[in-house]
Amino acid sequence: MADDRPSQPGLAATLSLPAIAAVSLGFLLPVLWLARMSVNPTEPGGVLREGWTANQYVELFTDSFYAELTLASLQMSATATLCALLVGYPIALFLYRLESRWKTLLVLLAICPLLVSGVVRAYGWIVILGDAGWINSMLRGAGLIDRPIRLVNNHIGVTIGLTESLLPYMTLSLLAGLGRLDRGLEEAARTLGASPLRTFLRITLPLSLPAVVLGSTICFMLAVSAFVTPRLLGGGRVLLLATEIYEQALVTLNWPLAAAIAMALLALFSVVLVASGRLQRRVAE
Amino acid sequence: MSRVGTVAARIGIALLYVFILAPIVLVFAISFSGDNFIAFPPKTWGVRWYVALFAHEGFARGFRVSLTLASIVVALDLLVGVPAAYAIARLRFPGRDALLAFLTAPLLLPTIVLGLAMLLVFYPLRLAATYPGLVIAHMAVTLPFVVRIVATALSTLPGDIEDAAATLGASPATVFRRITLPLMLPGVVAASALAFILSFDEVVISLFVVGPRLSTLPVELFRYVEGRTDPMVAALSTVLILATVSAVLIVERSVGVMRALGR
Amino acid sequence: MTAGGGNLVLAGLRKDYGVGDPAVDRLDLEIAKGEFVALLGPSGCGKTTTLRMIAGLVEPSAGRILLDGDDLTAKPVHRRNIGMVFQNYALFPHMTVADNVAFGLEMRGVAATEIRDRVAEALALVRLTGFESRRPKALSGGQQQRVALARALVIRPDLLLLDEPLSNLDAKLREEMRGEIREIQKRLGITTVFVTHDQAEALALADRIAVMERGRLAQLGSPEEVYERPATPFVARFVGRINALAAAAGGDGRLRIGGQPVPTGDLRPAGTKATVMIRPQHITLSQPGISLLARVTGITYVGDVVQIAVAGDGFSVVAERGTADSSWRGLAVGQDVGVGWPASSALVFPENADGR
Repeated sequence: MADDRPSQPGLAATLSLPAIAAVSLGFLLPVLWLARMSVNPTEPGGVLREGWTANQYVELFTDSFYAELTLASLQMSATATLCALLVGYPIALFLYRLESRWKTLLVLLAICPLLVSGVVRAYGWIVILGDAGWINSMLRGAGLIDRPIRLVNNHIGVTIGLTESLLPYMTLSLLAGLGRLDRGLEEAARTLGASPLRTFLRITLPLSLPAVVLGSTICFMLAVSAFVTPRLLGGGRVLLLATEIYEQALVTLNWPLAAAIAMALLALFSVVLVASGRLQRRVAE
Repeated sequence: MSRVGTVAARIGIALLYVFILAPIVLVFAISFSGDNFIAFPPKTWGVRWYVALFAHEGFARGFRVSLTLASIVVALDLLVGVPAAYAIARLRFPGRDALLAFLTAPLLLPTIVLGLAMLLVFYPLRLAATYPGLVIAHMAVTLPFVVRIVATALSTLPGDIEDAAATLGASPATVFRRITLPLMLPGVVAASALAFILSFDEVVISLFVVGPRLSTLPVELFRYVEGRTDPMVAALSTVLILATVSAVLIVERSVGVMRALGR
Repeated sequence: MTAGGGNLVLAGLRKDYGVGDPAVDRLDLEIAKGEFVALLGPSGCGKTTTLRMIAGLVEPSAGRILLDGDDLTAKPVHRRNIGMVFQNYALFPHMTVADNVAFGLEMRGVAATEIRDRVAEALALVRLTGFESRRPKALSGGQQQRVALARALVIRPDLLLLDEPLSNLDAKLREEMRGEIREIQKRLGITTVFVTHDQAEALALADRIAVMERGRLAQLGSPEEVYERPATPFVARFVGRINALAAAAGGDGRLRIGGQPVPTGDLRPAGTKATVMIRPQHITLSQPGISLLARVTGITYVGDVVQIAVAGDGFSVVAERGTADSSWRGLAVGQDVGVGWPASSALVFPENADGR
């Protein structure tokens, strides 16, 4: 049926003006300022001067350090996303199939890391993975090692921590995707003689691919911009784009360079978004 | 599936749950450690770190700041976000989709970038390390959720009931007060709770806009974990987790009760 | 319980959404006090838009709405005193049944004691006494429907509007509610406009039926008139089942199908084309040799009636017989029969009668 409400642009503008102002002040203005800052000249000692220069961008594209940083970020994000997918898919499938009064509780447990601060979870992983942590003391108790294995302050710790922090998003995306799947399709495949495995491979998996792509995109984006986990579990030894922005902004106080790296991160974001959009359309067909 | 397969799958799922929950559970356990450093399992047990926690000046100050900040942020979010959500969900006007896209745009930005951008803009405006600055920063990442949740709650209201109230003689103001407002309340409560938790837990953006005089609890916590590894953080984390869980339960209860009233 | 009833006049009513044809166009309709009129038509014909314009929920682009001579057109919804039952009932989910019914009275500033009495009376009218403190969600579809009806009637409206109120009920309940609504409407003598796409519902309930097609009034008349003397082929097809045959007038002015003359009441200028329409129950089947020759192509037994499909040279029709009438029992698929009908029951429309 046709939408028969009268158009009320005046009232709508009045009602949404405060929100528009808030978002302009807390988002639009800072982002524009960030773009402007990235082309300001740098002075020694963090002194700011208005001007125009492409120096930061030249540095970004010529210094191999930044290429390595970008590559490390992409690699770390891809690994963590893949791990989250490998862990999240079985959980989502299990929860989707579960018919039990505990279902709500199990769904909540699967996504409960969302409710716990990233700092707390990183600390939890230090308790587990640290030199005197749970795993090392178990291994030592079993006589398998005599010196602790390094599990934090390196890529292993960051990957594990990132995977766990991405997991709730992955599980939720997959659950939402599977939830849209018609259960009758699986039953139809079974009545046509497909084994449970073949039913999964031929019906469930292909139909859940859009959710896989969507969940992976969300996780990848979150991973690229993750800061707390790499910083705390990497112990300053795992260098990524996000940690470098923090370093330049708050330690080195080179704001134009920090801004330029941030702009590069945004560019990377857009590329991933566009690529994922293409992929999603392809998968959906 | 064969019985063995089913059992193996069950065990696999259980292990994955262990992976998800282990850090949280171990934080809880080690908060009762009596050791000087984190080692698991601890050599001695006790509540000495809880005692130390409540004597810690920085955490106490951070807690007060975070509580105040989150309360202000939620209040302003509702004041600013609910009318916008109402406009988006209930009014017809050109550019409605664009408005929703704009108001939820901050979610698209990595918080590390947003934090840096805020630092750059707040510094010259003298907003860095002030309450107004922190409030603006936290609103940027909580307002999108408030708008989206309240707009969704409003647009899923049972159709025609506002029209029905009007045909029964209710003026537009009365329709809003008697019908729309009570029915959107669960959405508003849920949005407030989420905004509160997000603001209270926010660390990345805050790292850029706090200062020595004004710092939030998550920032204090972050700095502490960065510097030292003793079980005091576990004690604090346990307190925070319990607070979060009780907040969620309270909201669940109240929203649940309102659902029961509403549906 | 009493209810007012007014005389409703729609004059040149029009609703234009700015895209495509107007949803409602040049609609003139007069409904007498106490009359029950059904607005009948397929989805998109403008019947719901018309109803919402009467209620004040949609602003007409042109035209006027008069109730007892009062011009309602510019009056806001909440001052119109019109009771409306919505398709999905639109009960307030956060209020009890009693609060739902009391809402309209509260809006009118009726005293609390009177509200209590009138709510009780209204709930008794729809046989829901004892359900006062229930929530709408705890009621069945039929009960929700009755609460919606009580809520609309308790304000003693000048006019009752029903927007497909039965479409969300299952078949058996629908028939039950049909009777109940008609009975209450008669008892209260309230002027009622009922929107439906179900022709059987309209035929069974209404004093008069307004058939709408693409925003226009196609025909207004009693159920018998609309069914037996449809004004256009569209009305004939929409109300009840009907056979349509393409015919052309021969040199003698009689209409012919495939060269054979067919029974109709009138003569046409030679060469004109026309559509001949006959209700299935008027089709006679007889020994071959009389009237049109055809062959039985299918026999479908549907309980009360049996449908016999026959096809001849350039035409095919369906005949219908009550199963109590045993004349069809001798028939078999493939058998030759003569097809005919009484000339008085044939409806003849010039070609393009539907085109505007």
